[in-house]
Amino acid sequence: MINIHMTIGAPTFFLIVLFLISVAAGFLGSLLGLGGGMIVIPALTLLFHVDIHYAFGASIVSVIATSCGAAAAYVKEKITNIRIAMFLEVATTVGAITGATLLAVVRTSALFIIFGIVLLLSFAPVVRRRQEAPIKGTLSKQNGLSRRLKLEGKYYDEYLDREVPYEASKTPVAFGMMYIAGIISGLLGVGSGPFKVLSMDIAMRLPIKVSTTTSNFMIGVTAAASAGIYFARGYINPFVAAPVALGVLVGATLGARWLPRAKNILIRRIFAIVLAIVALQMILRGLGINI
Amino acid sequence: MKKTRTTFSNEVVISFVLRWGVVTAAVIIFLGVVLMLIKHNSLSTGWNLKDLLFYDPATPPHRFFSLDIGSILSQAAALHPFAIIELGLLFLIAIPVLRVGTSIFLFALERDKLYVAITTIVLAILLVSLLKIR
Repeated sequence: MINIHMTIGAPTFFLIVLFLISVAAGFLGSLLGLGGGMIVIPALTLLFHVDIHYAFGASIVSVIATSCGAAAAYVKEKITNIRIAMFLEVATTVGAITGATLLAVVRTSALFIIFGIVLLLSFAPVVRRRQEAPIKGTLSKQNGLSRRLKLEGKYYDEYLDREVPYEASKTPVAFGMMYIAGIISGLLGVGSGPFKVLSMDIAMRLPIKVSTTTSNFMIGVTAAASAGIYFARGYINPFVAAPVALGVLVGATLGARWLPRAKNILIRRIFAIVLAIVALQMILRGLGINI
Repeated sequence: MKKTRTTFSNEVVISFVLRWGVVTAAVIIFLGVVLMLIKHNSLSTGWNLKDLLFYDPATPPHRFFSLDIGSILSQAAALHPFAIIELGLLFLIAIPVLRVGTSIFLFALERDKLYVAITTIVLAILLVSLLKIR
């Protein structure tokens, strides 16, 4: 890796470059459905040699910003299921506090390795993103708990041009998976959106549009649960967090505008390969091998 | 019919809280950055990357930026750039909490006791984390 840390002397130049990289990360993150954090953390640590704790701190703040910004749009369209989100947030917030607490005791080298593995796992769904398939083959059977909690709803599907009703199944499984998603979010300073979508997709069997928007809505609250601990411990360095938060927010906003035009599977695959290399580099860094 | 109307306004209220919260926080952070670029000579740290990116968990209390709300507020009042950025960041962290708080109120309006309880639990968990900030 080129040692930019040595060549960039002035902090002002560092701020500008960091801002621009964050814009790119936010843009790509929203196109790939990964979130800006997963891209900005390797950039901060591998390129700029910023301590990984500051990278996580800057990322978690940008995660809150983008989640709130995007959720504001989706909630109005009434695709987000606020009840399902609120119920599952009990699991993700407790998970986030667990993860943020673990962060103080896990060694830096291990953090690099765990981050690399999570990054590899996250973009698996990116490569083979399904086409718009709003309803499953069969509506799964709603369980008693799900019915009592009113984990159901309907949304207007533009593709089908009609209202699609749905109900959640396997609620306890989804709840458990959400706890794990929360731990990942708190430990690595990321939104862990792909893992949230996964548990609503394969356990609750919700329509993909409902899963993705509800996940986005939940990410901000999950991130806030660990951000309090991050702030108290001094992981949120204002010099790093400010350009990252502003940059990712700008990038994600641009990405959301551009999203309808970005259906190209080839572009997704190219980015997936790049991210796989980045993930491997994080793992190697954790193992003490610098390329 | 009445129920669907309240649900609709819930979503509009939450959307409003989220959108304007983010815009406000971003403006505060941006002003802090501008201030930092203008008067970086007055910072409590050297204006070089070695100091600005210094991290050592072994000496946590001696960082160049404050971690307690009292100092942040008094420094922000004195237009200290880092304190203003931190104020914006804290505001950003507070938005989801505000959103959860709003939801409790809205579920109460719908007389949905179960979800008032669930949402209150989420708020309590968030406060456990946020109250770590002194």
